[in-house]
Amino acid sequence: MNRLTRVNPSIPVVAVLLILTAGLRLLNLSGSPIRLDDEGTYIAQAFAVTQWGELAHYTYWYDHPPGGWLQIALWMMLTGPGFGANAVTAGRYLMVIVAVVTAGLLWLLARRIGLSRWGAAAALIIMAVSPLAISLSRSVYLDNLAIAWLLAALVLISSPRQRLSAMFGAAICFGISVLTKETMLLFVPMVAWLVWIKTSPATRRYALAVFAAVTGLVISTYILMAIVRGELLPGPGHVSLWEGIKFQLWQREAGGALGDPQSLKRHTIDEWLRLDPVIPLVSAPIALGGLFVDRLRPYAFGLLTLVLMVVRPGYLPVPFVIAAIPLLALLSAGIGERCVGRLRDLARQPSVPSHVVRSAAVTAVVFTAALIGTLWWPGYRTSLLTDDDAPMAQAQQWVSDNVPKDDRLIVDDAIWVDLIRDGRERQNVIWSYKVDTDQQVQAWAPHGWADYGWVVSTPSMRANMTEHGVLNDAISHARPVATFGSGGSQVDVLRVDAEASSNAPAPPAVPAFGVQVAARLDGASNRDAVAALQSGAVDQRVVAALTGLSTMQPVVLEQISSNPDEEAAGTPAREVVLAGPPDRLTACAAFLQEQKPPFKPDRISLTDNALTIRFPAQGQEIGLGSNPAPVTTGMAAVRVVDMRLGPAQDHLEFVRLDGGPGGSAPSHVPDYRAVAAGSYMLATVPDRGGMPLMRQAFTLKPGATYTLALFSGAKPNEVAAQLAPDGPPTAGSPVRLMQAAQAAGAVKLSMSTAGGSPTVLADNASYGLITGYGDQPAGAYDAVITAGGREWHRPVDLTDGVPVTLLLTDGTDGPALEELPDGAAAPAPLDPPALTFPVESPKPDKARVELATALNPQEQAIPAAVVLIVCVVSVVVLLKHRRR
Amino acid sequence: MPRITRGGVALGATVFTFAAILVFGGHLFGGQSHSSAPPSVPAVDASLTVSAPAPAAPAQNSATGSSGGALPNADGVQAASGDPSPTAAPLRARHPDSLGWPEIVLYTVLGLISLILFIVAASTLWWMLHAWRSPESLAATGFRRRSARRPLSFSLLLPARHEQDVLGDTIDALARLDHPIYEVIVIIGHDDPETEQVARAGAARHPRIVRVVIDDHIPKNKPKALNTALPACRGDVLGVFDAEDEVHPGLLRLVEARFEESGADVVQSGVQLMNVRSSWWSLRNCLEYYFWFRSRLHFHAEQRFIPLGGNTVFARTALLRGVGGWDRNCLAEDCEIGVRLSTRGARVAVAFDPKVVTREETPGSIGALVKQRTRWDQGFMQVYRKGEWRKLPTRRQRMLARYTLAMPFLQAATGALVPIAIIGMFVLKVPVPLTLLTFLPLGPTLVTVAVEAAALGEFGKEFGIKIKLWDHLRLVLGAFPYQLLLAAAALRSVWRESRGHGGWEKTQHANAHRSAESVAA
Repeated sequence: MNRLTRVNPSIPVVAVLLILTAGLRLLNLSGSPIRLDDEGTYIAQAFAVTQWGELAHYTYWYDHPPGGWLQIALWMMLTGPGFGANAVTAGRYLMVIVAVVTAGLLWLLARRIGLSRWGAAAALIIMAVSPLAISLSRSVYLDNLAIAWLLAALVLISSPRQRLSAMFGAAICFGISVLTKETMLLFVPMVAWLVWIKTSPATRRYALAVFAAVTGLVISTYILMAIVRGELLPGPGHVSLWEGIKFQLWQREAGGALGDPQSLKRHTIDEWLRLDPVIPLVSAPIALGGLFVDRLRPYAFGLLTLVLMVVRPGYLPVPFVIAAIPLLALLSAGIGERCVGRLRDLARQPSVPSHVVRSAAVTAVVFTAALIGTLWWPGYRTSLLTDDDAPMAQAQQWVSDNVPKDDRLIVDDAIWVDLIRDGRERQNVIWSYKVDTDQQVQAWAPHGWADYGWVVSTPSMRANMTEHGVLNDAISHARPVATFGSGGSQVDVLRVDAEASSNAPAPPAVPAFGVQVAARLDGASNRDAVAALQSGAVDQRVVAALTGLSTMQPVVLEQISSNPDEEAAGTPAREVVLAGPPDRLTACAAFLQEQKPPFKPDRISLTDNALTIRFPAQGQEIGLGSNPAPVTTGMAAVRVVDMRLGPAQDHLEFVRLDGGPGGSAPSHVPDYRAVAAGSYMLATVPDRGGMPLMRQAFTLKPGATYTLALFSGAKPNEVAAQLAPDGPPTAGSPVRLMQAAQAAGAVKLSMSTAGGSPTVLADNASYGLITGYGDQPAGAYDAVITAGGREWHRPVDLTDGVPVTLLLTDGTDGPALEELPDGAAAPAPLDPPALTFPVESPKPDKARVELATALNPQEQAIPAAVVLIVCVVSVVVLLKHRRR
Repeated sequence: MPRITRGGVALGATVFTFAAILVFGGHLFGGQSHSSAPPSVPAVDASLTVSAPAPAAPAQNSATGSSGGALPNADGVQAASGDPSPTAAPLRARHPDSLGWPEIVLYTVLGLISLILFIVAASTLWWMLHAWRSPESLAATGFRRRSARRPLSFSLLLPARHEQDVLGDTIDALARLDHPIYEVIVIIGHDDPETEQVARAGAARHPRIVRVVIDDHIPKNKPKALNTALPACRGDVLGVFDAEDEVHPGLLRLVEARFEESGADVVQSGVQLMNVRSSWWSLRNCLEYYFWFRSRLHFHAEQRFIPLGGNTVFARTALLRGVGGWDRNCLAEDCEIGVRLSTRGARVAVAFDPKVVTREETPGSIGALVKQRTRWDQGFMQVYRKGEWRKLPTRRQRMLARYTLAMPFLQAATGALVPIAIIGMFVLKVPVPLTLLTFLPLGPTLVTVAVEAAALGEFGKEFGIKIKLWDHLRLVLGAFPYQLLLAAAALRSVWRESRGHGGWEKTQHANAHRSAESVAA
């Protein structure tokens, strides 16, 4: 240090102040403030630059010049993908570096203006310790980068030797600063003034020419870029620079008046004051005071420009104050130094005793410092100690654990990059802002809100919600699955459900079903877990899975665990832990792994003595949520009508929830079978052996007859079963339709007697429709099936007193129409039950492998290359230095 | 009460206008529209294609679906809630195809060319601004106004050929210089009796100062003339002037002082073309001289590699005799002697003072200008090929020499690139970043124009010429055509040099004649 002090006495002071600056910003870096939408946007745009060579992750529409995130992209390339807890935090580390650089530049500027070391140090301290500065300067705001460039320009303009090269540098820096954040254009008068007064008259002409030309050229690259991309002026089918500028200047919603407590602008200013009640309030007086000090006048003018911008009606962005902080620090230090100088002069006068002045000064300084410290204290608590980002981080973790990779999400930009890095396609992770504003995004979702699966709702998303639009629709059709945090920082994960019209969550299994299954569990089961199973707060799929498993082997229930965040959102418990000997658990794991949605767990983890099963977060009604209390006596009749597409070589297993006698039935014979009334879990078992697949649960009432219609599900190998009660034999000829003709599309079915007018039974009916009964007079009819502009005629003969199901299937020559008389005379009993594990059961994976983000070797090479270059250069420099 | 100046009022007005725009900006512009939503962004990105939603999935699994006809909704159907996953199929990004070899080569070449052009333009700009790089360095470029303690004697060489119209005045002006010990040696060709007559008359008017030397060489050129007079010089220092030069009377005193204070072996003083308004290109030609003598030559002097100017150059006679005088075969003998002296480690001092510059005129026509440039460019190439510069002591100097002497080639190459670039503008389709990169050389070029405009004002002030807006306009508009002219001259010189490769003597013969003409011009 002594040697350094000899080189330049400022070095120790500056070093301490820079360390202070960095330290205060690194403390609780990822925790406060909560990751903001803007931060995420810039990070995401930088990510798009590094990843796809595009200027933004959506169509770039000239909202801001891209200089800022190009710099962030450079940082991303240098640090690689694994840096920081998340993408925004990685960006915040850059901001800490930028803050340190800014502080260093402020020191240089203060010294070049002519402030003493103490004055310069005071300026740095103000900037280092203000909670407002701490909070804003570590957020990933373009203003932080821009202000660093601006200060660099000011330092260069104040070059003591008035070099022309410094003017070149200053012009480039100022140009980049404008390209980083366009609001820096407000400083043009200040900078021009400084260029004028800081140049020597002999070379001023050239300095001005160079400065103006270079600045203009650097800034005009933005326009040039727009021209090259063919997007300078508005036109059909593309964005344009002109529209971007028009929006920023004239079309942004005005922030309202300063005096209106409800206005957006007042809200922004309150936000500043909450962190720091001192700096925003003193800026106007400081700026006015600075006008009276010669060497500070241009800077005071610059600050005054900013104050005017705040006062004028118009849009006021939150980070606007960032630009004011260094100027304010500089001016307060300069004015303070001037006052101290005056006081010293006063103290030198013999008329005033020096010790009086000294003690008065000390008192005043201590008082002011204490006052400001007290005012700043709450700001420190917020910025240095509170982890505001926890709900966001938890939500992000939850999404990555629970939301399938192929599901569509609407998210806040703050977590966008992290989700993409997690292995999701960019079309499946949609920034909420773009849902309603980007035509490309709208084209990805032709069905509007129904094309989205999830919404991660954050405070900034809620703040920017519009009253109409797809985002609003999606949220109103969604129900919370997990909730993190509370109050202003609450983050909700919402499941968009195409079926649910309300926000009601998927109901848990009715307690009675839980009670039935609990009775079948092994005696060694954990009592608390069994009690939980009967509590009515357990997901239906858990109950169904336990039914299936306990039919095939004894099941020891160890635990039913629920996530408090999900519990808060009303989501039933969906994770169970089973215990038992390893071979049993292995068999269970293999069984569950083979299941199809909705019974497919998203997590199966197997250890020697425990099997953890968790079902996906999207809870679903599978037949155990709402049906009446289970019945245990009496008989019912069920007929299976298999209308699945393609050949299905399997049979059905009816598994009673309470362990009572179930049975099996072939799927391709539409005969009535007698089944004991009660609640069943339906499984399909392949004829040639293989894993039984759980399909659905239902309840049979005594004395009723049913038709169990099997349709194909939305995805291959999924079954959508519908259990429809058959109509009782009545007078007339009731008729209903089961539509299983898929090839022709939506069909229209009308029937007419000879010479009579046709009755339209169904119109626009598509695959999977089961209607109720409608009365038709008995007789012979001509059924007309119309689909896709074609028409087919089929004869239908209705007998009096017999309800009929009209089964519409794909025939060889157009749709085939089959008449099934409903009602069973003497149904045969079910075949004996045969639900077992297959003899050769496939071995399950030992544990679900967590897929790590595939690291791009190129991305890894860049940091390595940079480190190598730095090493080589430093060695070369060192050697050269030695040689001298 | 401080006095309010006009500048102060103007500044105040500007400040108020600015403040007014800020304050009322919201009203003036914001009143039109209160839409807070940003403009809708159309989809233009071709890399992401939208696939149609998967048609395979049955659209409706609902148990309670409406029949759309006479049949009622089903009652009491037990069914799962259906597949809740969104109807849109997941989209996959189609990644752009990777580049093929031809594209990579093309882009690399384009990028390299832009970078090279940028470096050329930027270095030219920076050296052009050398004198103004700081106020101190600007002050160091002038003469110190202090007389020498020990006077030097001067021999001023004045080669003239077919210049009987201007020679008389020049001799009279040179004879009136303010210095105690100097002589003027007028060099006349033996086949040029008219000029000889004027020279003899001058010698008769100033018998103690002016002498006439007859050059008998065939063919004739300037280096041969100078070499003829070299043995006859009696002064410590030898100076070269042209027949049409207008020399400041106090120049010799200042040069003498410069020799003494700098300890230099060679002093180059400024030469300035003055006829700004005689044609569209004369303005640019004048400014070219201005930047060259005002600024660029100082840089070369500091680097100790300098192509000297053709006149108002002073060197110690002994040194010139030691290196054997001028190269008699070189078309740019001034440049050549500068390079040769540089390799011998001679110190060169450059001094510029607008008051004492030697004033000259531009060539009379575009043709003459192109011929003059061709001669210079070809001379530079000859110096390059002669390879004397390889003897320069440091690598840095050799690099600078190579670059400076090869400049005509670069200029020619740039000229040749212009039509290619224009064709490329319409034919090539390159990515946006590369397109932006190709604009890079334009940056320094435009800054150069801005600096020239600034210099034009200063030039007018220093030489008492009133510069009008029209002159500035001419300067800007003439920039590109003038560069084309120079590029054409460079191409012509390359062509001639390559043609004359085998028959050096013959070419020299032709050139010597021309060069004599253009010197005369």
